Amino acid sequence: MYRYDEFDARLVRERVAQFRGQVARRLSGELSEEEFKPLRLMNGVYLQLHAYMLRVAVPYGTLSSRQLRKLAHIAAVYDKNYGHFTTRQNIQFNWPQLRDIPDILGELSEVEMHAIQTSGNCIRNVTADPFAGAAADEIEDPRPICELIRQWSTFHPEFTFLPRKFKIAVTGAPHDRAAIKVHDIGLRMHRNAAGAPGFEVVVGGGQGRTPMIGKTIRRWLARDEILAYLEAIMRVYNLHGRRDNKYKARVKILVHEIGAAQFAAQVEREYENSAGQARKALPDAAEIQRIARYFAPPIGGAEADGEGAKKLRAARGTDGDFDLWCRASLAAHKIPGHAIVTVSLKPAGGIPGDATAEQMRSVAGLAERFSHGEVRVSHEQNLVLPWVRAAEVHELWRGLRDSGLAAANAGLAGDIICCPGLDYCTLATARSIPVARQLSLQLGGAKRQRDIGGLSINISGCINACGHHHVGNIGILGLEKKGREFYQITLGGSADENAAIGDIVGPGFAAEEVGDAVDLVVGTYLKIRRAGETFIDTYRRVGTQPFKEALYAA
Amino acid sequence: MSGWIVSANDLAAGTVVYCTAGGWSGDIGDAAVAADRDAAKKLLAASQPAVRDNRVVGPYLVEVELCRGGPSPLRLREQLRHRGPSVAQAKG
Amino acid sequence: MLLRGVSVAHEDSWRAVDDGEDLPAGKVTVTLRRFLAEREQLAARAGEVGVHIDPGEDLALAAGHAAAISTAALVSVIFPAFTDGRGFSVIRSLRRRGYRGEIRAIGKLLPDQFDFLRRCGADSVEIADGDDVQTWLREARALSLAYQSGYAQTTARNILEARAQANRATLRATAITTPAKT
Ligand code: SF4
Repeated sequence: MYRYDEFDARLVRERVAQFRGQVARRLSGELSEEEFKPLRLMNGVYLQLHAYMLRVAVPYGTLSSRQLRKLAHIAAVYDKNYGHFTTRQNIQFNWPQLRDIPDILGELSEVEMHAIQTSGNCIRNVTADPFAGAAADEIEDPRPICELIRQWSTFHPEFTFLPRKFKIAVTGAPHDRAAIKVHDIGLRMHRNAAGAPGFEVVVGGGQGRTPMIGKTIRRWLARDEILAYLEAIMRVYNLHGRRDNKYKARVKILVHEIGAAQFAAQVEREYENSAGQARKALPDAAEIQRIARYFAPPIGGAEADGEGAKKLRAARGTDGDFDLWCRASLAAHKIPGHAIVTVSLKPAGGIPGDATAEQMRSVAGLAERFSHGEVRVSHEQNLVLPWVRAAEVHELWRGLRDSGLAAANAGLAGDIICCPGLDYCTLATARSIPVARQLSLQLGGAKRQRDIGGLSINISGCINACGHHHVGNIGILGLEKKGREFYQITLGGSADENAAIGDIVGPGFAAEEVGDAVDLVVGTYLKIRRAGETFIDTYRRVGTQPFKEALYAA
Repeated sequence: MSGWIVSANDLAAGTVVYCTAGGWSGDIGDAAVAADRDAAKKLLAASQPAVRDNRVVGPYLVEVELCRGGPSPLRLREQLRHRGPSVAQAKG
Repeated sequence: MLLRGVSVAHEDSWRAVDDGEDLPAGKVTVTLRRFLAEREQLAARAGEVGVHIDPGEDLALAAGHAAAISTAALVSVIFPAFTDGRGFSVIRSLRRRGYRGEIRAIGKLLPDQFDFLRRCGADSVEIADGDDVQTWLREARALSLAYQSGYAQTTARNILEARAQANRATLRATAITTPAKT
């Protein structure tokens, strides 16, 4: 993983000192709340329903054991002993005191972490495939580019006061695990006709009140042109994005209003005008190599004899629970004899994405023993151990089980993606966590979920869609009607390379009806699915009609 | 019977506080209750010095019902603010 | 008050003149519309002429008249609100098209934006009367480093250059201290 050099470290320390001064000025009254609010927001500090909330950046979802231990420490010392991993691969603390936040940031800086640009109308933390660097289907590890983008976007002099927030996602693999088509900019690596790796550039995707799938504005862009090209996109957006209406200010609206072709033409013109100057401004090859070296796989070669794989097969053959967990949790690795392990943060009846300080420490310890001290955060709000030897998967599983972290539901119905909702969030219109909790209990155990097959359920507590409900196979949006919570259901959403926005299936449901409604949807699918189909396959074949009939028959 | 109370967040700690006869309290039972809209406006005005003194952030009126145990917010949002998340962190 | 570089500028003889208002002697700034419409009259005057660019109204016009704007002695870029960051790109674009005269940021701005303005290419900033100059001057130096290349050099040092320099120093040091192996 990337390690700060003296300059990265100094910049973060200076930022902590600056924020410490701002907090002191606020507490002494030198700054009013009105003046302080934009300053605290630039550093990830919100005032939520019950308390302040601090959002800490996990750049492109990569964490070291040391960093995870620090997060556990912060949860235990400054918070109520837990943290919440978000759909943006970040972590949020729900109860820090404002007076403590400078110290928290100081502690984070010791492990090369910060809260810079985790909110505000700036370029936010760049997200990536959580399997980056390890996935079997990957062309190249996208994280060196992500780190380049992280540095370039940090305190950008031109693009820190944009019309709205701006999110960039990157994948180096054909199977999209980073939801790049629903980001302001999505970068998808692929090879051109000559076999050179570069990026397809997708712009104007997003969720919220006006969900849209991004449009491709460049089929292929060489890697070393990325920053200059991003600069051109950002300049067009910064100058022409709407500022008259906050709900129309995201780049997706600009792309939609002027059309993708026109937007692309403006970007290309800006890029051409400046290409000479801008390319010169890129870090040179030595710097790119310097960054890339940090991301070399920490494991040596493949295991030639296949002993590890044999051992894993044997354990799966004799231990049914382990086998069920493996089926959900293991992904194919680039290096034979290894596995990518997803650690589900979705125990039945739990709070999706929450982890206690003890659990964070357990995962940190297990990552040290089994994954070269490296952990990832996925946008599904799970953790991932990317470098596990096949021979050691069984032992790892035992360790996870002891910490209550062995839910065998990754990628299945119980792997519910869920925002904090009205239990924490001041913008919410309804609660989302109790719905997730109830569904996870009623969906049944690992065997039943295995039978249902791959199914994503996403829940948001308001139209802002932090729970990504638009791209859930089953999406649930909490709203308020006459002082009561009610929930709108969408079907057919998807966040991968075949990204789609879910269709609203009909009138919403009262809180106590949601469970039955989801049961009916799942039941209908099980009745009409063909052999080998997942939920989304069936939905794409039959459309909403059969589900509508089941839901609104009576 | 219904009425209004004033709630805000403590500036330094961020915790939920309620305006009382003489200051601020984390306990809703201590909250000063205004019986009608005029009294509510006055109560809100009376909470402003605490904003200027950098003691609390964003005071606003909360509609409550008066029960035996004290004021109880009518809206779910305010009930959650008062009682804390409805989904206690079970794993901790 | 006017800040030039990272200090207080004690003289400022520019006068903003509204459309339709008579032009006084000396240095004046006019709206972009007037600047383009009255080019000959303005050029015939003795005093220098500057132009205001309001991103809310002038973007299309400014893009079409880059050459004319490049003759102005001063370009004042208006920030209608500190959250409206269009001015940063306006300033940056002026510099990239080769504008050499003075660029001034005016309007609603925060001390935290001072260094950003300078890095985009502004020479001077007009701050509000009630603002604390010391805060502005301090915030300009809050961060001593910057990642972006190709922007103007200010008190913030470019990290990529700092890195390259540090690498060269390390190389020299190793060259001296490492005994040559044969
Ligand atoms: S979707 Fe709405 S309720 Fe959920 S976290 Fe986002 S803003 Fe809050």
